[in-house]
Amino acid sequence: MALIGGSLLGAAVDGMLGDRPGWGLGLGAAVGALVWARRGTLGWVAPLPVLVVAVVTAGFGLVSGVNGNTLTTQAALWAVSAFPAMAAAEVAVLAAVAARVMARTRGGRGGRD
Amino acid sequence: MTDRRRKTRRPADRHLGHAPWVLALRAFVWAVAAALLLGCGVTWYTYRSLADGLTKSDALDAVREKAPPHLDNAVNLLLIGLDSRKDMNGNDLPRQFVQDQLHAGSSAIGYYNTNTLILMHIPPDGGKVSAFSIPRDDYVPTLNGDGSPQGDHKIKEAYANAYTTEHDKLAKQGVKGPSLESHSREAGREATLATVQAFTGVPIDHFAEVNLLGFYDIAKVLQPITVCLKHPVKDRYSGADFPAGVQQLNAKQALAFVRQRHGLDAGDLDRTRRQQAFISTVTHQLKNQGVWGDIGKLGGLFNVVKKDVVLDSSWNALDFAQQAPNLTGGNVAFHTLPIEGFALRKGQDVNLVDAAKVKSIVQQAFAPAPSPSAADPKSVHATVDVLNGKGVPGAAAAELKDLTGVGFTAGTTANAAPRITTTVVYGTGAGPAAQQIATRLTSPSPTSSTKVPAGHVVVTLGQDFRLSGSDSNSPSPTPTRSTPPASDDISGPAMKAEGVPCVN
Repeated sequence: MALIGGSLLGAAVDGMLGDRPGWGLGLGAAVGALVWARRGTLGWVAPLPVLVVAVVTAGFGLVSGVNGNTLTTQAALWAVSAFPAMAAAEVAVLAAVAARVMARTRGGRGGRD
Repeated sequence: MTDRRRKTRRPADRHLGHAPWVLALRAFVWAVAAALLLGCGVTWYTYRSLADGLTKSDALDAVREKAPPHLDNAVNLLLIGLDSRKDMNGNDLPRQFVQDQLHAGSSAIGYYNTNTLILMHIPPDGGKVSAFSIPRDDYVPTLNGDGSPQGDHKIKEAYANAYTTEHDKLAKQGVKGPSLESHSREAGREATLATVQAFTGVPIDHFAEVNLLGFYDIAKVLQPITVCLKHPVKDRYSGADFPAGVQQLNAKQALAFVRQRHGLDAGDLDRTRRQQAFISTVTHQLKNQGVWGDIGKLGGLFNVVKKDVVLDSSWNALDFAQQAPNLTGGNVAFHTLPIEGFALRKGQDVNLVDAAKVKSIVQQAFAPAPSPSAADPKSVHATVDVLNGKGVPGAAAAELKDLTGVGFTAGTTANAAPRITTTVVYGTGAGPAAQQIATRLTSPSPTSSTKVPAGHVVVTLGQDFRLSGSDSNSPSPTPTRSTPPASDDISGPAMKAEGVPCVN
């Protein structure tokens, strides 16, 4: 929910500023992914930000009107606008998971000492 | 927290987490996410590589508001060839290079004249592309980007006039260097776009500007370039020295090929046809080399044009890559706008043009094929009343005469309050006629009104109205020498862009 909510909120901010999904969505997705990554398991946490951002940007494009003359161009333009947010969310998730693993490892080592 | 949660997880959950269908679903989600991320990443990188570093211009924004209405949903593209011997920052190109490779004179020659103006109409559905070369010496009312008149000049001078005015103004304000050059050029572009839009009566969606150096660089990437000449030519001005027949040119020779006008039967008009032939050859060559379909090769070409080609800021590299194949395989018909004769104006040789005829030709070529009934004014019955809001005596009567001349029924004329824009308002049943009249006058889309009697169209002339074939604001200069009006085909038949056309 945090991931979807963050992405939608970011896309909405972009929309209010008159832009297509961009930095707002990237930030929203990253923050949502960070919150979500604290609780989820790696198997689901890692791949889902990409899918959520893809769905949000595609939905935004369908609602607000699609750029490009042909399907190929439209798909390419969608990919160009969605990728930064996907990458930001994915990096945030991986960073959160890595931090969690490190904390657990450090905690485990402390316990043995 | 995590350990506690793990300990309290129910056995059923653990069992569910290892169920084959859950594992399969997870693998599927991972695969889809990875494919999406990879695909989007590659597309993003490729797109950025193509688009980043291109010199973009916002000049279209300045003229878009006053653009004539679209006749269909095709893309109108203006190619501007600038005769400048300077780089993007306004610095003179190295003298030796200009003389040896460009075979051009000093930086003072050519200045900022637009020696090539080609307006292309690219339909969205892959239909036939129409292209019109606008002869550079056409004597027309040129405009600044804000729509203010410059006076009557050769159409190629609109850019230079606006450039000079802006350059002088900014220089007085202390603006220097590349900023001074880029702002002055932007004014030149706006003026050219505004002038061409007003002259042809169609809106411009995109433009590309290339100067002599840009042309040379592009030709250098594409060389050898195959051309075909009907006769041998030798011209010391351009450096053209070619035998008759099919031959391959390097970049320097290609530049001479498109710049030669001395020693050709039709002079500048033959030069225009050389330029059309060159574009035809190059698009044919690009297709044969597979450049349009290969984003890597297209990127290579973009890297070269980044240096000295200016594109409008709304230009979408991907859309262009999609539309570019439409320019090949005989899909483009090149025309040259007709002229009515030659004359001397302000001591210079110019082409005389019939502005109404030019608009009509371009609009007919660019508009979707109308139904037979809509195409013929005589079959669209309407009574036309013309109100004069322009303030020039006789303008309403003259326009009414023009409209009755093409089949509409004459109504009344009267004066109206002065206004900027010409409007067309129609009563019940007169919509098609009103649309035809609006297109003819290149005024905004007509509106219906219950105040207008059924079957009537009311045209209110504004400051933007021009009488057919003349500028009613300024008296026509007296020609010191003129030739009789030429026939319609003075500019030659259309050239089909297919392979390597043979030209004079």
